[in-house]
Parts: sequence; C-alpha cells; structure tokens
Amino acid sequence: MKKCKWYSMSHTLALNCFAPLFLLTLGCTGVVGQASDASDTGSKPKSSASGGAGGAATSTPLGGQDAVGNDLTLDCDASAYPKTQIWKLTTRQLINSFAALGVPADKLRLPFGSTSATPFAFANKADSLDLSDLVFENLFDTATANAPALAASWRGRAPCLAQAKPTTQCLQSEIRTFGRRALRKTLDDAAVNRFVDLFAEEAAAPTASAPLEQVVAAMLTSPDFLFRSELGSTDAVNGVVTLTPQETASALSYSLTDGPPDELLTKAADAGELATAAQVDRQVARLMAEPTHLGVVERFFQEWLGYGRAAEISKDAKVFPRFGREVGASMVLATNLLVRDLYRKDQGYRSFMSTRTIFTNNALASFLGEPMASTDEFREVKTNQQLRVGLLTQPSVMTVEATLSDSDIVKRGRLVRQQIFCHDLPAPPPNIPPLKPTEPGVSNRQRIQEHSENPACRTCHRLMDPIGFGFENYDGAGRFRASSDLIQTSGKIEFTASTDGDFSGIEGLTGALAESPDTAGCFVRQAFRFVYGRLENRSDGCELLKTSRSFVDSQPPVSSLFRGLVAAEHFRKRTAVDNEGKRL
Amino acid sequence: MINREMITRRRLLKYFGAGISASFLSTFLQETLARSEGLSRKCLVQMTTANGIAAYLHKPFIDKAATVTNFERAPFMQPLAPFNDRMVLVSGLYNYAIIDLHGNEMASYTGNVGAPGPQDPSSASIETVIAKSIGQGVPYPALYLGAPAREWNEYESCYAGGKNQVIRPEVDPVASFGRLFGKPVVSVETVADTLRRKNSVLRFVKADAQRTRDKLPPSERPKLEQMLESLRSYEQRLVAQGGSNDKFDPARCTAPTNPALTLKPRTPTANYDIYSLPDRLNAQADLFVLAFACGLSSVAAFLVNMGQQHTLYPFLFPDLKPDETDIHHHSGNAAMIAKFDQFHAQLFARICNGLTAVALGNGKTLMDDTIAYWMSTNGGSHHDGNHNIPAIIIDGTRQMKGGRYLRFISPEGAGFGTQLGNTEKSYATNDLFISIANAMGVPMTSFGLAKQSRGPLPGLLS
Repeated sequence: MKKCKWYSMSHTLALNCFAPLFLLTLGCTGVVGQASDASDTGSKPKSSASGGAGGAATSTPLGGQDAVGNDLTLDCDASAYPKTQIWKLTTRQLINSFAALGVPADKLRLPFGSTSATPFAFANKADSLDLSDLVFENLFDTATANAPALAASWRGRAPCLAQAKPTTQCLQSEIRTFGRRALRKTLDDAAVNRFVDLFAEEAAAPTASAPLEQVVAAMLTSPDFLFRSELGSTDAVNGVVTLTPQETASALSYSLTDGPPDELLTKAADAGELATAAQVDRQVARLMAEPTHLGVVERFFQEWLGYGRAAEISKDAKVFPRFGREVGASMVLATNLLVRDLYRKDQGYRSFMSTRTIFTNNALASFLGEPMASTDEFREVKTNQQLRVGLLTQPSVMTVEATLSDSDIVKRGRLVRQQIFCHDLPAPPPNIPPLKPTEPGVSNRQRIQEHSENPACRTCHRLMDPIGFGFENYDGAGRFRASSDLIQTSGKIEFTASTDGDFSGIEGLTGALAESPDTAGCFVRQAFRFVYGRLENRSDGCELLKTSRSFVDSQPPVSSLFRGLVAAEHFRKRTAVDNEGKRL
Repeated sequence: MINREMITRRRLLKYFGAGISASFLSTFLQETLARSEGLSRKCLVQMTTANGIAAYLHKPFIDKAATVTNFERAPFMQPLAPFNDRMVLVSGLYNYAIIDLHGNEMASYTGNVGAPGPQDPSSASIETVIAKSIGQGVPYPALYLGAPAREWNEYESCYAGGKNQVIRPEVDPVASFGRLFGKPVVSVETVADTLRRKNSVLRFVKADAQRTRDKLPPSERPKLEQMLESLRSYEQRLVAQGGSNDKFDPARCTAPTNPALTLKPRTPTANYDIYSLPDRLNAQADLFVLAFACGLSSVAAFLVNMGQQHTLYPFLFPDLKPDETDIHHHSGNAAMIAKFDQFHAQLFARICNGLTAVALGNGKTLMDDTIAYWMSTNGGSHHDGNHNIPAIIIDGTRQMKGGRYLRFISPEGAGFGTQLGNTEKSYATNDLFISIANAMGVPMTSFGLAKQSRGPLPGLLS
C-alpha cells in the first residue's frame, strides 16, 4: 500500500487559489501558484505586460512566471485603484470601539465574529467578516445591555438631556455630537432627525420609557458603527474617488491601532487636515508611535506565522509531560516580545528572519533546555550558533508546526512554501493512508521517504518535505536537538523564482530565506493583505511593484513597509463606480 | 408544561462528570425530571461525524439496491440495540456538496455545492430550514453544539443559516449551559417593555441598514443583506420567545444550578485536552436532553467532528501513541473502525436514552416525539469519500418503519471532483434531508440543487 502523509489542508487554501486547477490539469507536477485574487475589480482591462512586474521576468518578487511558465504577473496600471467597499469591524476593532465609548470588555457579549486567520487570509479579511445571526445577536444585546449606562453618562455630560422633556434643539445638538464620536462621521440633518424621532417615539411610550437609551442602542447597532466605509467622496475625478477625511481617519486608525480615530485624528479630519500626503504621513507617524500599534504588528506576525495557536494546543503527555497551556502561552509571549523588539528597533525583514536574539524566562528556558534567563521575567538573550535563527525557529512556531509527539516535516515545509513564498499548494488527494508508526532507530526523514519514491506523493511533497528537513533540529515542542544520524537537516529549495538551491541545516535554510528576494516580495504581499484586508488583485500591481522593489532592494525597516502602505495614495483612492457597479 | 424538580449542583456535577454511564443518565433523568401533562411537539436530533458508521461491517453487505430487514447489525451498534425497532440504517447516498476532499464538507447539509471559501455556504443547511419552519430560532433556541478534538478552527462548521451565513457550534459546555439556563425571565410587564423597546430599535436599524445597502455598489450589498437577514431572524426569535432571547422559565422547568463544569483534562494546563473529549461530548449531549426536556429547544445539531480535523481518540487505544489514533486514514482496519464507531454509537445512544427517560405524562416519552439521525459527511471506506454516505435514523415518531436497512448505490463515477446528477438508482443526501423534513412536518419535495434532489428516499417513510 502506498503511503503518503499529507498536511492538514484548509478549505481556503484549497478553494481560494489557483493550484487545484493546476493539479487537475497538470497532475501536481510541481506547479505552484502565488495566491492572489483573480477578480479584476477596480482595474482596467488587463494590458499587455508592461514595465516592471510584467513580461516574462522570473525574478521579480511580484511573480512574473513560476517554474513552469504560469504567468503570475499583476498588471501595473497607474490609473487602477481598489474597489470601493465597506468593512465590518473585526472583533478586536469592535471591542476597542465599544471601549472608546466607555463600555468595558467585561460588559461585551462575545463573539463578534471569527478571530481566526486562514491561509492567505488574515482575520480582518474584509469579505469574510461575518455578521451572521449569532454575531448580530451578540452585538445587539451588547448595545441594548450597555445603553442605560452610556445614556446615564451622556445625561451627566449634557444637562439639557437630563430635563424631563429635552428640547428638540438640545436633542439635535447632542445627537450630532455623540453621533460624530460613536459613528465616526458627521451626521446630516436627516440622520439626526431620525434619531430625534426615535427618541420621541419612545418618550411617548406608556410605560418604562427610556428614550435616550433607545438612541444609544440604535447607534451602537447601526451599520455606521459596525462597518467602516471606504466609499469615497461623491465627486469622482477621472473615474477615481478619494476617501472622505473621516473615512481616511477611520482607515488609518483601524489599520494602525485596531481602534477608532482618537481626538487628534478626529480633529484633523474635521479640519480638512488629511488632504495631502504630508498631512496623512504626519498622522501615520503619530499613530505608529502609539502603544496600540504594536498590538497590531503583533497580530500581523501571529496570524502570518500562526504561532498564536501554541497557547491552545496540547501535546502527548507521554512525550512532553511538562508541556501545557502555560508553556504554550509563554512561547507565544516570547515570540510577541521578539517581534515587538525588532519592530521597535526598526529592523528589516532580513533581521526578522535571521535574528539570534530570543526572549525567554527561567520557566520557558527550563522547558526548552536552553540557557537560563536568570529571571522569572522575560528578557532578551543572545543565542549562539544555530540554537535559534530567526522567527521561523521560535519555539511557538515549531511547536505548532508539529504533531502531538514529534516534529512534522511536511507541515513545516508547507508553512515556508505557503506563508514565506506565498505559493499556493493543491489540496491533498483522498484516501491517504497514515504514515508508518514511529519506530526506534527510524528517523522522521526515513518515515517519509516514500514521499520521494512514490510518484503520486513526490510531485507535491517535493515542494514541502525538502524544506521541512531543515527544521529537524526542533522537536515537536520546539526544543532544540542536535544533529545526528537520526536528525539530518540538509535539504533543498526548488521551484522558486530565485531561491533554488541546496542548504545545510537551519542556518543554511534561514539564511537562504532571509536573503531571498522571493520571500521578501512575499512578505510585502502579506503585509499588503493585512493592511488592505484582502488578497491583492490586478488593480494593486503598480503599488505592489513599487513597494516590493523598494523593500527588496533597500531592505528598510519593517515599520517603513507598514508606513508606506498606509500613507500611499493607493490607500486613500478608489475606483469610482455607480449604483449599478459600473465604472464612472 | 413540564414541571421539574430541582436539579442540584451536586447532581449536575456528577451528571456532567467523566465516566457517567448512559444508564446513570437514564436513572438520573427519571429521578429528577417530573412528569409532564402532555407536551406535544416534534424534536430533531442531527448528529454529525465526519467518519463513522461503517456500513460495510453490517452483514450481509450487498452491492445492489435493496431493502433488507433481517440484516446483522455490526457489534458496534450494540449501544443502540434498545432502538432496533425504530431504527433504519441507510447507506449508499452521495454527498454532492463535497466535490473535493474536504473542500466543501461544510456544505454537507445544504444539499448545495459550497461556494469557494470555507465561510461561504451557498444556502441554508437542512436542520436550519427545519428549525425555522417549526418556529425555532437559529442559532437559538435551536441548539448547535460541538466539541473540538484538539484544534478546531472557528470557521469549521457544517451549519448555515443561508448564503454566506455560517453557524458555528458552541464548543464550550459551560457556555452552552449559561445560554440555556443563565437568564431567568422576569415579570410579564418587563418582558413586554423589553420586547417593545427591542423591536423599536430593530425597526430603526433595519431602515438604516436598508438605506445604507441601497447606497452601496452591488459588490458590497451582500454584507448589508446579511445584516438585514440576521436582524430579521433576531426579530423572529424575539416574537417566538416573547421578548426575552435567552429565556429560561422557572414556571416550566426548574433551573439547574450552574455546574461550574470541570472537564478533568489529563494535564491540568492543557487546553482542549484530547483525553477530555468524551467528557465534553457527553456534556453537550446531556445539554441537548435537558434543553428538550425543559421545552427550551426542539432542534439539536451536534457536530462531533469534521473531516478536516485531525481528531484523535487516544482514550480508545491506550496502547497506541495519540498520533496513531487519528480517526482518519484507517480504511481497512476494521478493528479500529469498529472502536471509533462504537464510541460514536454510545454518544448517539446517550442522547436517545436521555430522551427516552423523559416521560411526558401522556404515556409517551420525549423520544417518542423525536427523530434522531446520525450521519457521516464522508463515506466510502470509512473516510475520504463523498459517496456511499451512511446514516442511522431512529425515528421515535414511528413514521419510518423500523428494523430496516436501506442500501442505495452511488452513481457510477462517483468520487471527488465529480458532480453527478441523480441517476435512476442513485440518491443524494438531499433526498435523505427531504425525508427527514417531511417526517418533521415540514413539507418539502426538493432541497438544495434541484438536479440532486428527487424527493423523499424511496421506502423510507412508511
């Protein structure tokens, strides 16, 4: 019986991307694609390959052609901008939006939606943020349950509301003010009067009247509260609209801090001070200095590499008796601290991929069998030799990309292929029998030997396994283990634009990945997907090309990448469409 | 109306605790749930396992479509023996929703091929349609519960409220309990005021959402349409429940004390410890029974596992390493398969036994009002096939003649990557769903994709 081991494959991976098509047509002959959104919204019809990313170039980090000639190029059409859209706020953003109005986290009825990232989609993917029955119910119940306290607070700030019968003028003025804060936009007269009418309707109720509470509840369940808008101004110029100042403020704030605009940003928007690139950049710089920005950065890395799950998984207690939730959580914290540290120190992508610095404390170091931190608090430690080399070798990453009891070569190779190279992978075929059980004296490498012998397995596993070999120095709980007859770490990278080659050990592998323009270009794509809440599409070609070239060539700090992405004109302009969806 | 005696904290702790046998549950319920004066409603239990019910272990295993009344049930079915006379075993159905390995498993109950992407079902799943048709709100009071084996991504679910509306099962038994019994209703006046105020806000927000929707480009409108659909669904629930969404009425059934469930993980610090899976599944199963018994719910959707999960059962195989006990990939190993299936059969029996223990006071038990079925989303040789889907139906209402084995055949060429219409002798799971819906009093001649939908399975409904 043929035996192949396949990785756990998500639906998104299988369905969002092109590879299944390749698999059907080419039988998984090593063809991999770079996931992107095939939709052409917001772009002009595809032009012939021109400039930069186009043509048959194979070394551009944007794709060009893959190993067997699939054209993965994104157009560079300077007049193409993203489509107009609305985003439902993520759970984190909703929590912060409620908090900004004075609703503490323990008064919320969660969940407000999924918080899971999936391959090729961060948790903030705009088209996947659901508002299903249960989510709406939770949001509605949160709004109505907290309305009395918020209304009381509001009355405390506005004496005219405390009157038995507030005047219409008072109501209009107060609703306009509260609405600006809660809904992040200036309400027009019609909208204000609808809330006044709601107040009046409830005030006329025969019993248990609570009119201001009704207004609060309605605002906190309003689409303007639950969604953020990127529809732009009504006056299109050459088929392009610019986000309104208030939309820009929300876009910047939620992208960089996961929260609503603060007072300074709100004032800037209302004063028309978000009109120029310089004005926007000033606000971007200010927001990036906020502590909340590091939380967003942390979320990006956590979702990109999936290491947050280390705090949730369990291991075989016979093999790892000391592994538990606390250890897993410590691993996640250690990686988060490292990410924050590197980001704060303006380190570039290469440093993230090759750093010898780790954060650890005594408990974690003891579990990992690594040099002690000499303190119960986490602190920075420089490692020597190949103990830890870059983010990919963090214990949190290695323990997630593993089985219950041992390392998982396939999963680790998949992580690199998928998240570091941005390559799509086909779904596994059906009826795959399990691998042989582990046996003393048989290495994991030997266990999956059949992947390279059986043609049915080899065609796809050669994309993953030879890369996964490089991580064999880390066991199933991320602990380092020295090379030996059973732990062999040489491998090979194939089917990339410019990273192909043999490597020896983890230093060789991470070194190749850190220096690769392919992976740096992929990193730009990942950051783009995170900031824009979607896969890139053809309308993004110019922006991605420009950003990638700059990033790959000069290796600026990662913070510059984020700053550049949100400060770009591309971030604030949209392709104008009419009510029928036709381009203006 | 059902009147219940107080369910004490201690009893519930025992009730939820590990290792409580089905026989204890039966005794427990008989002792603690008092007689009713004649509750009459139909209930539905839909239990899902990605892999399970090895139809070919039953003898004789025949290749041609046939109805077999005197077949030999496989030993793993022993826990369900008390229900033999009300049981129909069905196999050979084709799950058209799954056109690749796991890619569309989430769409299994929609009878429709899922749209690309795990969060994008094309239409509502059958239990949702039935729940709404009999006045059960979704996801509450219809209950969607499950238990993650180890890692269960939030997006994994077989249930959908409609297009792009995934319903995720509640995986925490304590949270489930809180939902059911955590909020007693208040006075009638307060309920009326609450209902009025909520409806007023909902009307306002609905108009607001509609205005917003109308201003959006077509590509963005579905987002507001989903909000409007959810809002309307919430309105319906409010109306159905008289104003309180989480209602537990002490007049109808005494609230159990919060059990403060402790699930006894094998390692105290582990989350979703694989060894606690039986306890968590049993706790959810018991909550279904309690919710039904107290009249809080009539529809139970129980997601035991899905194909994309690597569900480990080390507690069944103490001599194996946990990684070797994954329910996937054991085609041909009949001994292991039988153990997996027996575990699932015990779980299914736990619910049915629990419902049988609830006397309704009219000579009937709750099981007499219940149609329970257990289906696998995958078929084939126990795994990784979208053909030869089996189901075990226990029809307490006796609308289906029990003691039978209905074997159908999947269409020729069935397999992943194929979407075949029903042929003369082949039937899709759609037809099973149609049968169940009709038995639940929800008339239906077609469900999901029309070409996969021929009507009730021949011979199933008596």
